[in-house]
Amino acid sequence: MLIADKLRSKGITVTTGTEPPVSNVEAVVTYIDKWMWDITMYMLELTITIRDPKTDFPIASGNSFHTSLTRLSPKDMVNEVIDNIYKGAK
Amino acid sequence: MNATPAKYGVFVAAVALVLVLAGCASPASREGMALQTPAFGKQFPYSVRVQTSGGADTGAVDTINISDADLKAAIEDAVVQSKLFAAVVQGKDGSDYELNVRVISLSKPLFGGTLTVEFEAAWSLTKVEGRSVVMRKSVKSSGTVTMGEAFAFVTRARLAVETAARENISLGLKTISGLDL
Repeated sequence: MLIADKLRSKGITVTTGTEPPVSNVEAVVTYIDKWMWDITMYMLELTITIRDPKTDFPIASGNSFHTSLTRLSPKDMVNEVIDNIYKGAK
Repeated sequence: MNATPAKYGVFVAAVALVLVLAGCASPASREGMALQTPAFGKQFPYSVRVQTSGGADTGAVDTINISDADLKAAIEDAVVQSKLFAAVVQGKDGSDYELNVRVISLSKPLFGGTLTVEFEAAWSLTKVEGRSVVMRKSVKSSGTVTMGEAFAFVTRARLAVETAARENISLGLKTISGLDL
């Protein structure tokens, strides 16, 4: 939901789910999150990939990696990755 | 609370064992990612320039990564050995095709016995003249290494990454060999 909300904040219409995407979508967004424990659980790494819905080809991707000392909240990790993808697209 | 020398000895031995088993991370090497006698059953009479991106260097306390330079070298070695293309060109000019390979994800376990690494790379081949894209494919591969193959975790992790990379290179070049260029 964090990724969907972030994309919605950029004016994109977003639907979520695990079913195959409907035919009229322009992109499919997938992610891989990796969590670790250090006193509390935290997100170690997040990779977000934007794919061509027809071929599954990764059109763009971004990654954020923060160890315990520089840990960010999941929302901040999502913001960092999506913002970097947008910066790279310019 | 008095610690006896015996307890100290056990503690030091345990720390030493952990250090030996953990060790420092070393990156997936060009040699480790190299295909052994690659052959794809086709030889294109064109030159190709290989570009890689999305990889990362491996620091002493990082998890195992694949560097762009090592991945590029391993792909180029496979192309040269298999003669899939007539020549591999370095630099910006003079090639008939450009092969771009972008590392999308490399999922590495942080602990465990049998390690399985999942690797995805975006392969695209562009004909330089006219800038037409002749292939775009997401290539997914995996590599599994057991404790029987390597006891130290960092060695097992590196071997798993290299196995996944080799399979990815093989699948990517096999896909290209199926094209009609």
